[in-house]
Amino acid sequence: MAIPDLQTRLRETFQRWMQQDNHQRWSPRHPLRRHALEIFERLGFPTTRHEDWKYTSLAPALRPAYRIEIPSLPDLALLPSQLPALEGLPSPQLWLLNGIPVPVALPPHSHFQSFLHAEDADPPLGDILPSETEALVALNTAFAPDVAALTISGHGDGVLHLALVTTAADEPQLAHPRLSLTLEANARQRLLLSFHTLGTLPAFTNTVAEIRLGPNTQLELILWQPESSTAFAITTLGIELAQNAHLSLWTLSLGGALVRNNLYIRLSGPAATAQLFGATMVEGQHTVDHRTYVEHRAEQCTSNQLYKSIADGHGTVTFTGRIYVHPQAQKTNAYQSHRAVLLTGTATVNARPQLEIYADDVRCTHGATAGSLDESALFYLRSRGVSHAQARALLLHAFLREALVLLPDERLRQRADALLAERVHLQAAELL
Amino acid sequence: MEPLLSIRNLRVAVDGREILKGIDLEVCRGEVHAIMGPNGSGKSTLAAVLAGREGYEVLEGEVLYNGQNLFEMEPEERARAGLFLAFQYPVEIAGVTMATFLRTALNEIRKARGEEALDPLAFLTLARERMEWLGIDPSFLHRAVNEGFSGGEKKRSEIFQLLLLEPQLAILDETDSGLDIDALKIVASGVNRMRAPERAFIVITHYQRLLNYIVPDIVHVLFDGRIVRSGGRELALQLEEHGYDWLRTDGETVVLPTLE
Repeated sequence: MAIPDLQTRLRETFQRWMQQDNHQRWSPRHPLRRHALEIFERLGFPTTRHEDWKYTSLAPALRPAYRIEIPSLPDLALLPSQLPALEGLPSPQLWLLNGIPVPVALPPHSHFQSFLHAEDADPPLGDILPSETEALVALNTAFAPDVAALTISGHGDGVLHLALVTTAADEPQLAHPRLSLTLEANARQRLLLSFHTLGTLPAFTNTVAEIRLGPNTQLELILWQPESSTAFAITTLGIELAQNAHLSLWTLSLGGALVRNNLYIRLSGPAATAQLFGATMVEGQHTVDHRTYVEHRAEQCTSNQLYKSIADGHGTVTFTGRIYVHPQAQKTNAYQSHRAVLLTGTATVNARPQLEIYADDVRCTHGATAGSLDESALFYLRSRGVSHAQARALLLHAFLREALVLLPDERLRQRADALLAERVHLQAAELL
Repeated sequence: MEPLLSIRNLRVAVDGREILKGIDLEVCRGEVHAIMGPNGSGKSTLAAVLAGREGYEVLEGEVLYNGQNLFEMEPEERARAGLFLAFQYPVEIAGVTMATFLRTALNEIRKARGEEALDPLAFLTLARERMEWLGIDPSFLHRAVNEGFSGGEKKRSEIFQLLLLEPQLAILDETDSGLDIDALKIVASGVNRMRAPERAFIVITHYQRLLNYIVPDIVHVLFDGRIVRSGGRELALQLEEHGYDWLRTDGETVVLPTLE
């Protein structure tokens, strides 16, 4: 008998969970979770016929025989040594291990709440995300074992590091981490979300995060996605900005079996600003797909997107950037740029800007380029004695680095620099 | 004495069009040659071919550098063997600092010369000393390669690289273009400082002006892909006086007026 497909197995698992009433508020009996399962059942996993999934097929991610149940948690003490990608990053203060939040050393200006064992509280799940239309968001809501809810008030020093780990050592694993983050009015925070896979089997991590930025807040958010050939990572972020809230977001994606980032940015209060930066490098058979959806809902907001990508080998990078300007969002500034370098004839870059503008007083630009390295720059470097390979590495490194120059944390920026250097075969010691 | 550079009957085409139509030139160590000529005469093509830029088709002839066939050397091999081109239009490279670029370049060249690589501190010390010679601000090293440089800054940067890399043969491609007289003097002083018995220069220019400050030993007039006349410094002065108008092609023949 054939193994039932993933969707069937998910349904059956959920129904089994429904029968095990464990008296917890956030049990599968919670109306939100049951409703979400219905939505997921109705939508099903998206296929390439779906407009938003035209260039990226989810099919390879659905093939492994995942364990859906949450495995026993890895030993926290051993994790840092098992995850070399953590090297050079600050110690995580909060872990999400197969979706289970494990706080370690959260700073005093933050308030953390878990719902795994709560009997009364409701997790703060809102409507920032298209929960009714996105199958993977609905799937997460149905299956997320817990919601890590973090509230920040005041100013945070340094970087708050949240590490998401999916373990796939014995069996392929499916995980649904869920995060809800709130910055209270006037709060400021620098947050690092790093994504990891433990083990060599396929790991499908379907992360969903909702982030609310109150008035006059500032969030510097870094999505740190080191290379993982066994990772299927779908990350959906909904970020809502109130008046005069400022978001800066950097995404460092170094490749995986399938990495998809859905960023829903909603500028809901006047004079809010959102800056999105992305540095992406793929090789082998890796696929990285960035989808941004920036919604201008209030006047005098600014959004800026700069994504830079390098595609090598048979790798694929896709960028779909939608800017939606509502009629009331006058005096909007919205910019978007995706620039890509293709290193082989077998690599692919897809870029689609999508603009919908319903206000008249708007400044909006977008651009997408894909090409090879600048030959004149290559010659200039070589004419001074720099080898072809080194000149190429210097140029590729500089190209990607432009998306990360504004990264505010010196240590993280240096670590990112070093990782990029390694990927383009540049001796980091050469950098001055 | 064996010439440092020996060009024999060099014919070069770009996009199927012949630009250099048979150049013969010998440059010995210690000499400064000026190549003058009107726009389109092939001056920059000659510089580019010698430095190894792609897109140029060598139809005939050979170039020996230190007795080696130059066309069998990659651009970086030429640089490591001591050949240097000061670009007419230096390329802007965002994201690579001058310091990273030049330390990498200098250490490659030093390696080829059998010298030790310079660590960052030793490099910065040397670079600052050479920058001082040209009155370049120390912050220059931390700027991206040529990015946002003014025309004058770009030219000064090229000469600074010459001072740092200490080539055996330096080719200056219209380094004087777009420079005011003060900048021109600074550039020339840098070049003069590098004049040495073991080093040669080819100064390519449209105007005589630069040659008031970098005094050449030999002046060549390039016209329509050929060197039509060679002489001493006085040839440059005559060109200044008469312009290039006396150079006319009459069919295949170049008609030269008598210059007294």
